[in-house]
Amino acid sequence: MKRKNIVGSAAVFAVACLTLSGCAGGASDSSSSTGGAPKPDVSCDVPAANLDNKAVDTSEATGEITFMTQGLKGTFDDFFTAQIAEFEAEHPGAKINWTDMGGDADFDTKMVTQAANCSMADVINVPSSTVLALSKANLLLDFDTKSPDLGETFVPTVWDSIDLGADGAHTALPWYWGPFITTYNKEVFERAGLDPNTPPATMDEYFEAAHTIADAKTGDYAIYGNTDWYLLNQWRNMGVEMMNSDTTEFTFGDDKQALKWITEMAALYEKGAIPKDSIIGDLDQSKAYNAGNLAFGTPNASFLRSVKENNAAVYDVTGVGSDTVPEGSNPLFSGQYISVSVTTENTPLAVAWAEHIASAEQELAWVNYGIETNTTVIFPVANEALDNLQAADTTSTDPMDQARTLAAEAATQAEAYPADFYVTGAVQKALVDNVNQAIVGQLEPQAALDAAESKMNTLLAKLLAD
Amino acid sequence: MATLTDVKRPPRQTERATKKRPRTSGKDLNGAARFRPAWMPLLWLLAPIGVVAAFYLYPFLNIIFLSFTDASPLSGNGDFVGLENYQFLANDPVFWNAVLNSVVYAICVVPLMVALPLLLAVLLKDHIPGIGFFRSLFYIPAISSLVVVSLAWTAILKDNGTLNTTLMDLQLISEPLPFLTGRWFLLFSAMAVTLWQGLPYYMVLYLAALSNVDRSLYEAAAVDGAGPIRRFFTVTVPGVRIMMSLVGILTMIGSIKIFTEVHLLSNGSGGIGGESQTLTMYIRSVGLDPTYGSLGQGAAGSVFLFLLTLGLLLMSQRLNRKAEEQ
Amino acid sequence: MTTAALTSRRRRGRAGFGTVQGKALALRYVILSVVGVLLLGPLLLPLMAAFKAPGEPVFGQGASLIPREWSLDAFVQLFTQTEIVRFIGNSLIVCGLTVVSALILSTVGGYMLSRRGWKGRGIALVVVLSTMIFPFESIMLSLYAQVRDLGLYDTLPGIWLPMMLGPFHLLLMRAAFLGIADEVEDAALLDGAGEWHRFWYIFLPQVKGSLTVVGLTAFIAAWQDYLWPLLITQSSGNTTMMLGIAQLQSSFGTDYRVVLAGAIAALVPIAIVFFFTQKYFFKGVEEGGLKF
Repeated sequence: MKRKNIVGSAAVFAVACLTLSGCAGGASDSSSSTGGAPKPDVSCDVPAANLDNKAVDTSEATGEITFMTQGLKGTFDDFFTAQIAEFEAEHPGAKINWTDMGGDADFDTKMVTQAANCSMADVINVPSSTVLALSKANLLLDFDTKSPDLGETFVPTVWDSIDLGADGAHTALPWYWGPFITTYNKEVFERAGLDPNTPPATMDEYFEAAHTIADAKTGDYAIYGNTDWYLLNQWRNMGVEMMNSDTTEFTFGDDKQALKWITEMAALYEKGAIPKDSIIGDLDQSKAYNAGNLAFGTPNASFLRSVKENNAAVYDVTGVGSDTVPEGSNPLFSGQYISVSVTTENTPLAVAWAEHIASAEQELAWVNYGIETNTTVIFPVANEALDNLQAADTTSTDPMDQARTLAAEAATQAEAYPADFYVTGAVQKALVDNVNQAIVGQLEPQAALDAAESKMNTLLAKLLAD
Repeated sequence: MATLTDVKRPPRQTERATKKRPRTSGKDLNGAARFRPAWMPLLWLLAPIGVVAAFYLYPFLNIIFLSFTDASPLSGNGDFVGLENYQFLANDPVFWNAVLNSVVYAICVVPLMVALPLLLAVLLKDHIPGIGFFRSLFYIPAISSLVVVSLAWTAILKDNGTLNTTLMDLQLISEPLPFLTGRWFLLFSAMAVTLWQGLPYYMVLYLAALSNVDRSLYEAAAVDGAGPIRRFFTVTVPGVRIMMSLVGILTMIGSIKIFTEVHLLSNGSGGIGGESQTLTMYIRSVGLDPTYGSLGQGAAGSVFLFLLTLGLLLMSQRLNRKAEEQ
Repeated sequence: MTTAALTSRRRRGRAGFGTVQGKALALRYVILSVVGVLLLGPLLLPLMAAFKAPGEPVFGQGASLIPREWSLDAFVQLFTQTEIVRFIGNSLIVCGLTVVSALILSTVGGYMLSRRGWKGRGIALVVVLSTMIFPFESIMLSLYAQVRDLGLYDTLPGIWLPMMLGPFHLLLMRAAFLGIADEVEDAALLDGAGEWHRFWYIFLPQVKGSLTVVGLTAFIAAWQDYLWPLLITQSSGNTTMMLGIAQLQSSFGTDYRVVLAGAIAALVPIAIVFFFTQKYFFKGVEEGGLKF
């Protein structure tokens, strides 16, 4: 028999696969709408009642549903277990199965897998990073028709911003969030000759303080390098026009303020004010901040808990200030939402549960639970809940308490920022990759802005064309 | 007939192989008439090949199909677009950079992964007191969970980490080396992690193979006055050649599709500007992004990865054979 | 009769590994210790951190390698705040299923792949090798759909099903059967024994060592797997150990001591499994040998 080697025949085999593959994929049926809302792009079995024009009658909420959250177990177990028990007692015959996933990047992967296979949980906690994708694919229930008037309970600008479904349908209920704040190490401030009780109030002061810390050459660092999380917020605070008003194009490429941000960061990096390896370090800077030689800490008050747990000494010298929002502008809202999957077979119960957990009453109870257990600093988005926020102890010197006071103020003034939905996934990567290259000096700042804008607009155009 | 035997029994080996099978009636019994009824082997293979076909092959046929469509993760199967996705990849410098990274990864990792675990196995093969303890202890890196691996290696490789501090204390360097941020440094660091975890894993395979090497060969070599190093090359290496070949194939396949190590060390960024991104990282970020992803492009990348791996295996096989013939 | 004689002849002359004495032995220990430090050193800092008291610095400046105050607080938190025992139990179930299926399927399949005399074995082999090349990321969406269509979504068998047999195991067992001398088979064929009889009584006992390798690697693969269980499970009742550890990294900041305590808890069962199979593994190696 003629000798042929294995790899060669594997190549032949691969070609055979190509010809065979025609029969492997099934044809998807074209999406034709049966009533009010269009069918999802993936070929799911959607109960017709979820797409018609009639509201859902939630008085008959029985049966069983699954409720999936992100990163809440371990912190809020008692709260949700109690909430579910209470709800089940009020609705005899109803059963809520709560599942939770760790809050890492794989959450999005899981969400995509489930969504692509029409098997999302009935009620889902959707982060702002995936709400656009799920809405565009028509995978989320339209609250406007299924539960009209629900929107009135939420902060108007936030509610208005999530008209991301077909024909401007609202597909998600604002749930909870943590306003950006400034946290800083008072000792590092002092060592650099800065007033430990005056955190920067504007982005200009922020960069100024960073330069002072770098110039003092005390061996301390000023700013953490991975800005993935709050880049958008800082640019907004500097007045950068991220997108045009109808969110069809990114427009920051020739923005002087964006250029200034990159130039400042590059200068600070050059000076050694930014730990060199932090550019692509952990998303949250708490691990680096815990070392005690970094001036600015996490922008999210809830992360103060991990500072407390991992290095109590640093926690004690942590100062808290408001986010660097300019005068006359409102803080940015970026939060978590509650949606109902359009494939749910128990719409009445799913909607009833979604309404329940996103209600003012429940949001407030949850926030208060965070205060009582001193575990988190989260805020509601329902008007009534915001009006009734528990008055924080303004005399406390505990950083968590101080953060709570400042964040409460921000929470009542916050407004939605549509670009937040669009700067996600590949678009965010395009932005951050280019910006990072400019910070470390591999790219000219303007070249980085141009490259990022062009790549981001290509991706966005493709999304909008579909 | 193509078999793995060809891979593992290069010409030089045939002499040994034939010596091993002095058969009288072999032709008759092992010939075509060996199995009655003729479909009997298929019956045996039904379950194992069925599993492989169902859970490995079928999904990949799907991927090949998708690579010719404009499907996106949340849009179902999409429409036929011909070679558009492949054209997109061909014109995307980020893709070619990822290919380069993965190929470099394989070229660096494969030889080391074939050789180093063998050396370790040689150290651990003899019955000396406490050897079970060492064998078990050395195995720990292979079974450590990702979170530990990532924390451990970040602590070593960061700018003020153990490695940089030590090198600076020894005055070998004056500035920290960018183990986690340099375009190539990051890849080399990830390779170190791959080797660290793979070393004990492949060591076990080699230990098993070593136990098959005839002891009398070592004794004969010792009588001939061969030192440990010569014994290693004249007895050990030929004795485990087949295992070396298998480890080579396995690590080649594994390192072309490398993902986890680079992902962990760079917190998912693939380095500053994504320059150290590997092919699988590229496939994942292009294909699975819920908002802007293109399943078709990701699928095309997977098909390319498949062909690339085959090509490299073929090439290394050629090189091996040439080396054998000389 | 003939076969028995042949097998025992094969065993002679390589009854075990060598022994080392005197200076060479001392040198061997020195080298082993150095390698040990290189292999285990990286793990020291993270593993020690699990024993630190709450509030003690875990990383960076001010963090010491040895805990200032030894504390089991992180482990107490781990066992009280998470269902870690159930996670370990789930992982063990999946691992058990995987080991059994991998052993059965890889021996049956590997045996037949190693036999000459039937058409299509080349293609079968190529299929097996090719399937190892695909990255999991590219097949996972499809795999997910398949397992869900089988009604196994969010079940432990659903985690097990796609990894019940690794192509690698087939190749390993095939190589092991190939290594058995042809005289053995020729003699068995002359005896007139049936295929199954030959496989069970003559071939299988000779590949014990390889079987242990397959069992061990299948166990580890199932224990370490993260992405697939993450995708295919939903309820906490089906959470495996690796998912459990990942869940400790919450959206509201991470207590690394607890995460690391979890990592240690994940290491211990598998280390125990290795320690015990290690004994049988090397015993198996010496009896049956891993044949090529």
